Amino acid sequence: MRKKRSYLFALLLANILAFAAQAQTTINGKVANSTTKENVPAVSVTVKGSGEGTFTDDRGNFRITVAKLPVTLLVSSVGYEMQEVTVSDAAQTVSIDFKPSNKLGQEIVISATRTSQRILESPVSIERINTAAIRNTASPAYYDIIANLKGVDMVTSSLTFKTPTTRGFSGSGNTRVNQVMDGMDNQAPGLNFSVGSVVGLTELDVDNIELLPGASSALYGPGGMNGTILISSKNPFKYQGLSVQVKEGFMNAGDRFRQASNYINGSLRFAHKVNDKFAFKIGAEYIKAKDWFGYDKRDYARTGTDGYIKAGDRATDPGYDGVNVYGDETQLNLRSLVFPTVASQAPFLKNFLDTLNGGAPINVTRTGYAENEVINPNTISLKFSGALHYKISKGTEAVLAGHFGTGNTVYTGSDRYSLRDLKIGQYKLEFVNKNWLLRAYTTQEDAGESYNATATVGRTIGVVNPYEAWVPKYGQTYIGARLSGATDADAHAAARAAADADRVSANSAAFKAAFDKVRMTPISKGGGLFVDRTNLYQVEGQYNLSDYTKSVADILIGGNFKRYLLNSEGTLFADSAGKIGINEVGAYIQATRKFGEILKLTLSGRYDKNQNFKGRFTPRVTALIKVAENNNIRLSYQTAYRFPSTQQQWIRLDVGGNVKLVGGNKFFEGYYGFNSKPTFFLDASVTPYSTYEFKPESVSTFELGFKGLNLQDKLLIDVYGYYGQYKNFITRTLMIQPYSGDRQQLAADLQSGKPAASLGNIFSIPVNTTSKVKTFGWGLSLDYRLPKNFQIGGNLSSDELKDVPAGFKTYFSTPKYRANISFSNNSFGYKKRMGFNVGWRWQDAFYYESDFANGNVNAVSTIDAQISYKIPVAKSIIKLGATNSLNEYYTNGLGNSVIGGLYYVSIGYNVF
Amino acid sequence: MKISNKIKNGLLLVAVSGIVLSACNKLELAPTPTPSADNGTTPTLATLLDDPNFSLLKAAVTRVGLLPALSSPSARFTVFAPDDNAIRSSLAVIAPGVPAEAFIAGYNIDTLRGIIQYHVIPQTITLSSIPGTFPNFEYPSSFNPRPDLSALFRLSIFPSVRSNGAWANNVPITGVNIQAVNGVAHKVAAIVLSPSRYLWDTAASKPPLDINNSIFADTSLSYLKAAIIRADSGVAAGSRLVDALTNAGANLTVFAPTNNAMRAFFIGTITKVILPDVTQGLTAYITQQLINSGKTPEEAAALAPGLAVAQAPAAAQQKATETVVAAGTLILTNPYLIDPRLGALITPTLAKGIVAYHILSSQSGTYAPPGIRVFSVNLPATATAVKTLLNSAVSVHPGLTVQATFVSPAPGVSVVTAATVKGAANATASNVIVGRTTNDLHFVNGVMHKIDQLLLPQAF
Repeated sequence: MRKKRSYLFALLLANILAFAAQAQTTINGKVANSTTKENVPAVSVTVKGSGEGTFTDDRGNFRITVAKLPVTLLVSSVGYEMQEVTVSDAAQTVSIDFKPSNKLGQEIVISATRTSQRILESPVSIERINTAAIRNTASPAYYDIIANLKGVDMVTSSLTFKTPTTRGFSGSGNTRVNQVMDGMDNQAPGLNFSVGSVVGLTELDVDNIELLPGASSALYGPGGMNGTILISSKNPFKYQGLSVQVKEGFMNAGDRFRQASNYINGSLRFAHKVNDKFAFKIGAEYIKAKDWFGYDKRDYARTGTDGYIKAGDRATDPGYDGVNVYGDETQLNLRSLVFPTVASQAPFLKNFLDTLNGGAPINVTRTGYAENEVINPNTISLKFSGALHYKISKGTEAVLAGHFGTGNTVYTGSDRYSLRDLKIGQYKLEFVNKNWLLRAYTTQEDAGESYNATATVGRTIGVVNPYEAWVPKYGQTYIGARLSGATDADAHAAARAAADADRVSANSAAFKAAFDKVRMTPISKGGGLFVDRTNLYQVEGQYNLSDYTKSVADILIGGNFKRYLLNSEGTLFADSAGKIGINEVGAYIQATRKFGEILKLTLSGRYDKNQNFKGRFTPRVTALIKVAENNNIRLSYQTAYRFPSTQQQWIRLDVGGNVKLVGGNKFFEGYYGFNSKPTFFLDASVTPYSTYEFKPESVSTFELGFKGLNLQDKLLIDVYGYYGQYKNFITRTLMIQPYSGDRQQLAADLQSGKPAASLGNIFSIPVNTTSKVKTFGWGLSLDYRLPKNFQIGGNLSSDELKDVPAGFKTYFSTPKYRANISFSNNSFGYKKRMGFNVGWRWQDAFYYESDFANGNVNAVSTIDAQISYKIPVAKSIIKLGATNSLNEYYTNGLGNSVIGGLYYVSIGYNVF
Repeated sequence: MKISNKIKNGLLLVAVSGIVLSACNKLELAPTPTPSADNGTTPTLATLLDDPNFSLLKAAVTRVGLLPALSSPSARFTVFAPDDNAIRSSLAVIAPGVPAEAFIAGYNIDTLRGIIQYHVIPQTITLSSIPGTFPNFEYPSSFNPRPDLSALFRLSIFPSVRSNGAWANNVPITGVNIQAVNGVAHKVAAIVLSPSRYLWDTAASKPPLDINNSIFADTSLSYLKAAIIRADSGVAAGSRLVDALTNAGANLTVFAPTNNAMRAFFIGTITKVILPDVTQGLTAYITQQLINSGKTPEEAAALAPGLAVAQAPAAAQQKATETVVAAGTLILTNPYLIDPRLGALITPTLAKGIVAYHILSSQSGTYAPPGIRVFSVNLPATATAVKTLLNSAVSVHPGLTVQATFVSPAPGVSVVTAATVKGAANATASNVIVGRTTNDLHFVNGVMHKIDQLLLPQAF
């Protein structure tokens, strides 16, 4: 029996091979730009009617095997007109003159419904950045292009740390925007910020970026309250060959803040299709520069994570606390720290001391150091990536991929953090079929030598010149000066001069030695280092049931399981006793049905459960109404929610000023005795603490939009309006456990102006607001195709917040208006080899709220520009680019980096 | 115009506008100084002295080098300013026969500087900022007589405010709140002399202007001195009363019973002690006298006790007086030598309690000094209980009852003509002996008022 089976198998194999040998014909071809004659890589070549296809390689060549001749080949690529070529003779190389086209609105998007569709027919607002846009951008990094999309706000914490947000609630390291890279959530599981701009894809490997503004949890899970960004890499089957790009330039022209410094960005990618089944790619990118820094030295009135900008400087405010000056955060009250000792030893001074400054607290701060004095400016980003692609069968591809990034950058959380030797790796194994998907991945995070700059400087100061010596010296000199008749200001000046007599420069060996020791000591042990090796593991799957259900509707189902493993060794989370695990599970379903040619309805729903929170269901309903060819109205009701981030659940961090940042997990209630010791909210009534349920926050959004192609397909219009309502909004509030334990005493002390930090231990805890915060906004974009490949476009958008209760900190941090204008041509001049792009971006002034600092951010207007020249014979392009080209310094988040001009020249080989 | 052209031109217009606008990003990063009140530059406290009525004070201020400080608009001082008349009248008492101008020009400059600095308070203290509570508002002057002790040491001055007047120590303030850009001046009726000696001062010499004798040196207080020594016997250095009385940082008000007051107490006490013996002796003596005068022994025995009881107190007092006079302060320093019974009565503890009862204590305070300094003008016009150092050991003790009698020689000016202080066990109040050398005797570490009775916290 066994033998018989072997014969049968051999016979079958022989028949197959014989059939193949007899029936298959290989067509070789080459695709070149009809205008510039340069070879065009990554062009899709498919056999009409069969679905068989391939892509051109980096020389424009393709090779495809067909069953018989003649065949019709469909040749297509974004930016070119689709061509049909009939091939009757395989002996000749097929030469295809590929005609460029700058026709608008032809892109295919996936993220809107997790299925492919034309962007014109997306049922929800969506923005897309393709490879052409990345090639033609003036920005030095592809991630920066997101800022130019309609409705996007970007907070720049540093050169390589940028956080995009849509529809409000902007901020550094925003947790309300999902970022997905090749299907992997790229939020750092412990640090909670998305690492797309830090250690994401290398630039040469980015295929496209899609942005779903606003609520988008229904398909992409918890977190996408203010948008979902999906970044996809290039498939090595499609994009092949070696690509190299080097950008070199300089930053900080004009010496306003510091001398000009070099900017270097080099990247390479190599992809090779070994055969029709197997391809691989590897890539790397290296960025080195001297980073932007925060230079805001305005005086800040701080209470924990709350506060405001006030008048005052180091000379006129003894309690001066500069926004980007560190070590000066803790208010030291001479009246409580020094006066009692002096009065006990010199009772004759009692009344004098009691009446100084009317008896009010006399708060002083240590003389701090500016950010640019203490933070290492050297930003380095090093990324590696690689992937193996194997086509298991027709239509099924297995991908084993890894992305690893490391480097230094600066991030703004409740303080400014210097992320040094941050390492994040993402590794996945996935199987992709046209109907289904199975993926498992992990995010491995290591904070390296990252440290809290604020705490590190404050504690370094205490090492170099101990508080125990500094405070008495200051206090006694101050008293002596006042006894000599000096004014308060003169006495403080004299006291500071005396107490700081031994103060050393940040460049001194003594300071550096102490600084290095402190920054390498965990926060929990009196240093500034936070250890974070939190990991994330996720498995997910999706199945498109349309083949079985299309008579009723196209149905898509999916689900995932996610596990966080918090590991900070007690430096960031309350995990001193061991790692903390958090599990989440979710599932979704989507049904789409077309009603004739006019209406397409999509219903989606998703259910997620986090072990620490009740399950949540998020529905979505969309409708697409075709009003004319290429003109569609879209309507949607979307919901999104967000489980509190891992930090909002489990953080335990001393942020200075006698304030502890703690999570909302019930563990803390017992650990700190919120429900057993006298604990009060720092509100007007000093309300006693009572147990509360910490819930996920959610948003529901109604949107109406229109996208249409008109005026002989030269004008692309996209307009939308939305209205959203936030519920259980997560914010932070302050509580105090007074030393006195007495509520009335606490209220009286606060009423008398005594700083809360001197009255007890303060806790910043996350809470849900009971108010329903409402947002609304609109956006409009126009893109117009001019003759000779010129294109002009612009967008204007607005976001507003309403029904905000008085005194409620929303963290909205979003300008009411913003606009972008661009004018470009990627092929003009001598043999159509030249290209340029000029973009102007403007955003209105707004009030910025964050855990680090609150205050007005002025309007920002910048011009980015680039001009390029192609050298087809060398497959190269030279680009001269500049961002913020007029070097008009700005900041888009209070306390974040001040950004100037960046100028560079780049040369790229085989950049597609 | 075609729609496409309109759109095109519109976008171009916006783009050009953007280029123009982008050149003006407003970046606010620099801190702004805290706004400060601009008081102007004149008048300063120095220019106030240009008033011809303050020529002597200005001359003194100038001589001791204080004028530049008072001229600085950025400084903050309060000056108790005696005018020329006040200075002249004061000098007539403390340096009779010396013209004021000559005194200021020729007096020891360091001492003069101390006197002037004692009139100057750092910071601005208006009268309204001085609480009207008992006894006064101790505030450091600018005078540091002991820089060797501490750079922060200052002699205190004691302004006070009541409905009937205001004073710097015991000197009436006659003009208030004369404003200057760098402070305020208050006119005073006399020189406010700074003390130079301690309540217990063993120094042989004393400055010419400081006529006060310390407890140690004042021969009219030798019994009090002996009581203090008795109280301190067996007490470790540092915890003795003498240590407090010599401590520059102490702040004491001592009601000092004179020798006569002390003798009266001891005479009374000894009288009580010896009365039984005297009675017994008299009985025997009178019995014998009656027999000698013809009475039968039985008759004499019956009559003598009554006669002895009647005569014994006077006899005992006579004997006690003789004993006290003969014993001198030995009665305090070593009463056993006089009578063992006295030795058992006048113990160091008793002496300490008695002395502590003569020193006032602070009433309250977060980090209050151990004592208070009560000038006679600070005494209440109505009988008022005040605490003493005895209360630190016996907190419920009622303390002393003090009262002063004021007269007003001029509107807004009041002086004390009489004052009393009464102990809890005293039958009558003791009088504060009002006089230049008997009350408001000011020392570095306190003030002393002589009284004519020993104050008794309990019956003996």
